[in-house]
Amino acid sequence: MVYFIAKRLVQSVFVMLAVAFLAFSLFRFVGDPITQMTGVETSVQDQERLREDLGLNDPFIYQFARFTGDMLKGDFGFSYRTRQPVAEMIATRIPATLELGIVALLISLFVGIPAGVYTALRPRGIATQTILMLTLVGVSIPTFVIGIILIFFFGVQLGWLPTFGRGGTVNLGGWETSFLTVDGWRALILPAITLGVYQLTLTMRLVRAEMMDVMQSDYIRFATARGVPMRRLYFKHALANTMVPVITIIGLQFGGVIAFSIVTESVFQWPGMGLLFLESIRFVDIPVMGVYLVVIAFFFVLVNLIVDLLYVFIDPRLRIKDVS
Amino acid sequence: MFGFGHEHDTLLYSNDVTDVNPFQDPRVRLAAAHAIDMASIDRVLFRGKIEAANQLVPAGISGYSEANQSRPDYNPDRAKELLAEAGYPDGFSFGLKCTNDRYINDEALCRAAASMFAAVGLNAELSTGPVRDYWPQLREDDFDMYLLGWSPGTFDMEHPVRFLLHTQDDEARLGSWNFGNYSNARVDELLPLIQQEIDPAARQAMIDEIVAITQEEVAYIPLYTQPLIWAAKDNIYLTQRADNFFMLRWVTVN
Repeated sequence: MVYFIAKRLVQSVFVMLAVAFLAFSLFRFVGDPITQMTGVETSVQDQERLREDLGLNDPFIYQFARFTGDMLKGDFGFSYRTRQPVAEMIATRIPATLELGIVALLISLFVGIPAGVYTALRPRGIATQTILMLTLVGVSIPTFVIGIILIFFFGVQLGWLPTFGRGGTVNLGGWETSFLTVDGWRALILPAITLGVYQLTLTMRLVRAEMMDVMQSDYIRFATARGVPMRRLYFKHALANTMVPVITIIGLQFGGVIAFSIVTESVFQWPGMGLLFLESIRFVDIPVMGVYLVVIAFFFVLVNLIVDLLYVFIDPRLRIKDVS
Repeated sequence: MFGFGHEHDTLLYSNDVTDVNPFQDPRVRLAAAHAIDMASIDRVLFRGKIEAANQLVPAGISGYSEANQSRPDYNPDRAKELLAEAGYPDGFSFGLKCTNDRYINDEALCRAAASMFAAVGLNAELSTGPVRDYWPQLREDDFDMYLLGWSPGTFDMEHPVRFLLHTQDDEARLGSWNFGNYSNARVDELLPLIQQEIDPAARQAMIDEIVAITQEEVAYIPLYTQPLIWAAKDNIYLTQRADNFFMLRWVTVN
């Protein structure tokens, strides 16, 4: 087990390096950071000098080596836009995105899995058809449209929920959390629903498809013939077996949710990493973009590692073989 | 304002004129200016909020030339006449370069302008892009006509003269945003004099001369002064600066 985790972590370093390399090779095409940093009165000579000082004229390999070297030392550089240390900027934004992502994930799980089970067990009911239709609508409408519709109804028309920002947060030793205040939760609901809708529909349909498939399998038939109670059958045997592929997908999706919550954060002006990334692109803030991408790569690897460990927990067949 | 490549000897994005740059002829520039209908742009795109400009600073800025307040009026017939005079009775095609995320409605404005140009025969091929790619392209002279906005940092007319009208001189740090390198000897001569003149009347007279020269030569097509649109909740009292800078210390939250 420890060997497995260690091997994965070493692999993650290679993933991050590859991502950093790709990201860096793209940075020469994202625009000119110098003109975004300086004002109109900065002379051409001063702009050139700044370009030289920041090392932007150096060959790509030098810049990349410097970047990775600094990151290994823990020096994540300073933002071109705000002059703050990048590590600090990203660290203050992580709680916002993570909390949003986790709540979105929970919404999608607690609504998606039961809905999936229900629609699998009652495939011809009216409720099933309604749910399926609604989810089709949910997956076809782009995220930002859902967000704007929710803002319009609940924020503007009814005035029940705030339309932007994070509301009241409580500082728990550096981690700004929305979970401890009513205001925080009110601000969290709409973005979480928006972010969770796509994941929800995917989860639901996946659970449904897998469950319907599992219900046809031999061991379910034999258990039914043997007289195992229905509830136990459905939830202990059928559901547990559907979960393996579902967990893979959910894991991958969660990584995507965190990494690309950009749209939702932009619509709701949620001060998370996605919005930071968006702002950095506009201002050609290369240090922030580079570190963000590497952090996201690491995060994906972490999520996949957790998913793989969960497999072993859920699927007994994997426990028999040697895990390596 | 729209700027031209005064120093370009050929058009870069034209399908029909490949050996000369028609915009080097002031009549062609004037024709382009006459093609623009600012009143319609104001009404349709900007909901009546803009002020059509006639020079590089709006009224109220120090140095605004009262004596030269007229802008080329919307006159497509005159535009076609001028083009015919200059030797382009059927017009020609060229590239119009604009931003799409820098100024209010910049892309919409350029689309409107392109269709207005087309109405007199100047077929503009519009290309827009984010502002982070824009300045490097302009510095490399990769344009035929471009959109530019300017805020006089010193709140005085000398500022745009120094950056936009003076001949490019990197050593002396002059004309650094004059991408087309509009160059007029008299304007270059007057700039240091304006910078040193203390008597307001004498200074204004020199500025008036510069404005007259550059309007006559259509160094730029002045378009409009961008409105300042701010929104705030009812309980917030804030002070709006004329240069659109937001000062947190001048905001009161009740």
